[in-house]
Amino acid sequence: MNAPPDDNTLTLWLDDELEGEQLARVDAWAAEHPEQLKAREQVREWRKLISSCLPAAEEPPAPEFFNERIHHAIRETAGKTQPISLSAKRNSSRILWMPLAACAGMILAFWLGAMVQPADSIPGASANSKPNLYIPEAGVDARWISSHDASATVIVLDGVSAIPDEVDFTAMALHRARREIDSTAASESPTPNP
Amino acid sequence: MMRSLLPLILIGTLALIPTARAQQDPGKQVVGKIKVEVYHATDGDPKVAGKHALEVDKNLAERLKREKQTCFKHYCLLGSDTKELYRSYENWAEPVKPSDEIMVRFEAQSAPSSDSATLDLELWLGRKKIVKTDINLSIGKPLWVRGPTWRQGHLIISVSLLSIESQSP
Amino acid sequence: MNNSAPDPSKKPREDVSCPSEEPDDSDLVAAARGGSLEAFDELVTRHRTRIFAMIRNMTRNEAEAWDLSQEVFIKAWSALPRFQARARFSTWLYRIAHNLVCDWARKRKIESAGEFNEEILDQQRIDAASKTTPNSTQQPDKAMASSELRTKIEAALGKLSDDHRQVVILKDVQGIAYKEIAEIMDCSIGTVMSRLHHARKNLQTLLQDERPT
Repeated sequence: MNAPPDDNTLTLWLDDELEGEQLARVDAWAAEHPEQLKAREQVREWRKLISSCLPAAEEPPAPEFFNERIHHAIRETAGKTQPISLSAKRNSSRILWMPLAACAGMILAFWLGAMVQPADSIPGASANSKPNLYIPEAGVDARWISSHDASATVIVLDGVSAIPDEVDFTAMALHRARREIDSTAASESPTPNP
Repeated sequence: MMRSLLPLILIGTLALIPTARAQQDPGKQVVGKIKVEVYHATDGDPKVAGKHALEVDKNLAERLKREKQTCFKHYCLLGSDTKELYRSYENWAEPVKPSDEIMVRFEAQSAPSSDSATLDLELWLGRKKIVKTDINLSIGKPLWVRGPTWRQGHLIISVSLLSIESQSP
Repeated sequence: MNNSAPDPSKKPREDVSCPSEEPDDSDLVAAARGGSLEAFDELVTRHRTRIFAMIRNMTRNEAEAWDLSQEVFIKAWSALPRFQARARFSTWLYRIAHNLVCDWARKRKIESAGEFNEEILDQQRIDAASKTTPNSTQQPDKAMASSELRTKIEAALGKLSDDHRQVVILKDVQGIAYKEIAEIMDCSIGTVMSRLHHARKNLQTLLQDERPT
């Protein structure tokens, strides 16, 4: 007769986390204890029930926008915190002793660069040409109008869902409470939960 | 000898500074400023926009009325956001922050001219990309997007090029 | 959007104890640590479904879960230089998510006045053989709509403490191994086992109370 497993091993067995020889040993022991087999079956049934009700994986709404927001936040953070990393050429003592020919070459390059006109817009939209419009949302249509009277470009959207009346932009815009991102959620040394 | 060479060395040093700056990340150079505003336009009662909505400048209102698609009796300002236009990085304007109901993503397609810039521009409404365009914006000539309905009127999203920054090569 | 929950009885054993992880996550992580936003974007796409689901199950609020899930990845990006490559990336993300949810709950006072008083229960030593799981055969009959059942389970989970709710979601919903849960919640395996034991017992009591008479 197999010796009974310790509590931890039994718990792992009940939750199907044992493998190999250890699993075989506890299986053999449980074969003589049908109540344990029943308990394991109940655990499996419970997990099946709860996982059929609550998803383990779920695509967040607007997944493309989800990623864009993260991207944007990362760039914002990088812009504020990234130190300016200049090349070693900033070391003035090295600059002063740079060969004369190199200095002259750079002066020439600088002057030439200043003389070059900035590149005009790439082929595509120009001040007077029609812009390209791409509408990814099904059911939405967009048309472009060049308004000479108003001296503006107008894009008219049709088929866009109405914004609910209960949305109050002005209240939110005025009371822009910054969301606090709690810094205790450190990845390496998390704050122990109370 | 060194004395006569010193001016050239100093000029060389000065010449190196723009080069050194370019080493940072030329893409992050600010080449202009973009302003995004959201107006509520209605033929009904303008007060429905909320007591905190601001009145739109009369000249702007007159200008909006000149175009049939944006012609309404009343306008008010719901929000505004001004952001830098980078040489080759995107940026996001959030005119009704902290709400993300209306957001505009923009990025310079190329180096701007003295008074205009071609942008890769996206309008996001309700966390969905609604329209993407390669619009050329000139200073003083905005883009108006007549958008969704809200409280018995329409939202008009205005994107304007405020300024062009002088650029180093 | 994937709303269907996987059937654990059909999953291979490995998936029950170890969440699936793309074999080349380490390559993406290495590239992201080197500053590649594209690589990190791919990691976000790979892991956002599980992180979002976990947080949504914990907070029961889709909008909050949407925001918090993004914060997980934003924090992960800034903490990448400190990430130890030998660790599993998904575990690390879950840990950040767990901490964020705890902080959120603490701030929002998610513990309602109707929180289940666990002192009522018999706090005997852990007996792994004792019946601790809500008996599915005693659940409301099969005629009940799944959404109604989900509501009841969610309501019952909502009455648990944060720690108990978290361990049930990580173990019984996400299918994560005890050892990994211990890393995520920064406690011992024994503590995880104890919490899960009590959480399942509490749920059994709560869901039995929901049975129609």
